[in-house]
Amino acid sequence: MNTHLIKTASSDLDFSGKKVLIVDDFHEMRTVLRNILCNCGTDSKNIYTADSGNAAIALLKETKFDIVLCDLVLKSGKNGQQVLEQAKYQSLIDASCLWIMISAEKTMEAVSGAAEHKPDAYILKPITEENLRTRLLKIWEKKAAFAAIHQAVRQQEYTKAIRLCDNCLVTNKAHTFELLRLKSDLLLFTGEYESVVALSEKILTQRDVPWAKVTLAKALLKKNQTDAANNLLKAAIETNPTFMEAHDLLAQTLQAHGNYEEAFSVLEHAIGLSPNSVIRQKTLGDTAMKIGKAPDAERAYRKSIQLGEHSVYKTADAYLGLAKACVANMNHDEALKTIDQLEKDFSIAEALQLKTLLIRGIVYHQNGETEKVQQIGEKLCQIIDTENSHLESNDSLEIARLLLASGNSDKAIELLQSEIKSNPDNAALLHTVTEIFNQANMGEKGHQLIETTRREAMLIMNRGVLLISKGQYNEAIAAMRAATKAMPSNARVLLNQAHVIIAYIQKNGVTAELIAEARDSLAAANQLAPGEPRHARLISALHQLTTAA
Amino acid sequence: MDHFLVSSVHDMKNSITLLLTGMEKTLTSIEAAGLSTTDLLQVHHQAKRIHNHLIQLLAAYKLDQALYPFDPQYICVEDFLHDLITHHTLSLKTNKISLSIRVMDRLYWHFDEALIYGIINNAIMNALRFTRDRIAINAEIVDEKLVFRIEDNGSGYSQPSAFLHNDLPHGLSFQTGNTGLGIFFAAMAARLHQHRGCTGEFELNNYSALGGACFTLRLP
Repeated sequence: MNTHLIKTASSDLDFSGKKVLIVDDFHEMRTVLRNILCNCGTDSKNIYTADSGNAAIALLKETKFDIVLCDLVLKSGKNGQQVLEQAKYQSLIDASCLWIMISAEKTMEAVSGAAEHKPDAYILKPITEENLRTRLLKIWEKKAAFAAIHQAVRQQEYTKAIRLCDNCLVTNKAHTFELLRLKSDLLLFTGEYESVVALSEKILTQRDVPWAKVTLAKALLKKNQTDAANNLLKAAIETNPTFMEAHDLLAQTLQAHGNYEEAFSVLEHAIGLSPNSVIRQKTLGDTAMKIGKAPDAERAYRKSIQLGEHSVYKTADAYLGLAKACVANMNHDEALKTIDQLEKDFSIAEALQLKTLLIRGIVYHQNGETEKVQQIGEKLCQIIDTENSHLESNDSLEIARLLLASGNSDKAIELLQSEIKSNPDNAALLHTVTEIFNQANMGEKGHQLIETTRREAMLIMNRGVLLISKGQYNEAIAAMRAATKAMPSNARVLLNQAHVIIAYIQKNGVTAELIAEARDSLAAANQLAPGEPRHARLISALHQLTTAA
Repeated sequence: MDHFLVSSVHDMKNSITLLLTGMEKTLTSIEAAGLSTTDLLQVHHQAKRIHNHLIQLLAAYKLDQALYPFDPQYICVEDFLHDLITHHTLSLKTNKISLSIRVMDRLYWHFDEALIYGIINNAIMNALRFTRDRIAINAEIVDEKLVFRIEDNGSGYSQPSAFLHNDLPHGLSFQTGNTGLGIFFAAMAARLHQHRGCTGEFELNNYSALGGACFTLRLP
């Protein structure tokens, strides 16, 4: 056996020029950490301390720190995680900054949570000098090892990032599994599902790690193998009950397939394990609403709002959800109060004004205040007509419902047709549209409208791609431009347009205008349907064209 | 009641963390002044035991309630052990105990760092208490399992026992002064570690190369 005596701590990390921020609400703890850092060689005038999240944010805005030591639990206001989220969100820290979260015990939230909002490391108390020094050194090394990969990801050069992962895997044993995880995420993001499946299965034969199961499940979902994916997620939950990502993905999948009952029970169980997630509470609220459990929804939205008070995850959506839940609970006063609060807490852009008006409209409609409904209907039409802003599908449907109720059926039908054109193959949407027509006693007329609109849309959508395959490049571009004009909110049309332009460039050469047009289409598509793998692939193809030129 | 127990234990643990840090600072200055630290060291050791117990109490509660965020990572065993013993440098030095650590070269393994830290730390605390003057820590791969051995040259365990294949300890008595918390915690923590049908297990025996107790933990 190749054994040796353990080394003493290496002291390769030069602390002398480093600017360090210590965030802790305990004065004693701040002093302890300050002393340790001074002993490590940090210049005491380069050590800053903050006793609260807000104080930390203020310092982060003024100074670029190399190291941040932040306690996870802070007495008042933001907690450590929320400070980190805001710092990343507002770019208050550079990519090179080491963020260490210090906590007294491992928490569920620390283990789960989004990777982009994770600190570089968690350190459990108690902390000794030697222990902090070696930890920092190790994290420093790891950060350096991953720097090139993360840089490539930031520049959207995914193929390069994957190649860099492979290079690192050969030399860097210490981070084998983290590199494998990163690589499978990148492959997933670029839509290489077969490779993801192969890689995940290989990882799983070596070690039964829950994240590999979740990644594999994600790839299977993309390949429409829903049952296999769900079984895998259930198996991951069985062996690692506290791996929250598996719960969340399972709930998401069930939800996407309309299985809201089961999604609700999965989320309820997950909340029992890890109740402090702003997003999970909100998703629980959304799901509860879908199955008519408005009281549960109200509770979940309230919790989400309370948790999100100081968080970057604070969204108007949770308030809107709460208002809708209150409407469903016939608690109209609370609904209006929530809307008031929302209008106070958020700057009300037109898109949001539309949503608040809509909820007020629904409340008045339910209270039978016809005149007010009429007024709101008119205001809504005004906003829709003047502003070219993108209407979210659900809102559009609810506005149509309200307009049908207040007698403006022309505008309502226009909205519903546009929704069908944007998503002609979405069964759930078509079902809702049918239900809206039925509610307005327009079932038969509605049915015909839905059918013709849907057929028309499918035809236009695929015309460009068809023409390209026949070699009619100019006609294809013209067809796609007409299609995006007719259906500006159809992500598939926009992606098809980019596809057609790229094919055109490959055949006829690059022009700056065409590149710009393809970029715009891709950006718009990504806004409508974020994270579509086709989007990543087309971006890569476009990138190759521009660098080759 | 559960809530009060848990939150009080939490609070006590935080206080003791600060107490320990303060004591360590004082110890260093007493030592620097050339005075005897023997008395304070014993107090320090006891405080550390309480601290350790409280941490395990909390972890055992969470494990028992299936609330523990089990999170195995791919860990460099040498760094892990090195990190762990930095907390005992003081006791080792002042009690003139020699410690040797042998780790297989480039040894990495999957385990939950905090849980295994708890188990090994407990074994080291015991060794520190009962050894004459030597402790040896050994980590290697045997039969596709990571095996930790903590040995000393004290008088050995009075009741050697093995906790294998998902055993949970039973028959512990409050009268003997052994609450069994350490063993209970170790059993709960070890059995969460599973791979290919194998489960983590540990053993307390007196087959130490140093002549005293030997604690062995095997992780699949």
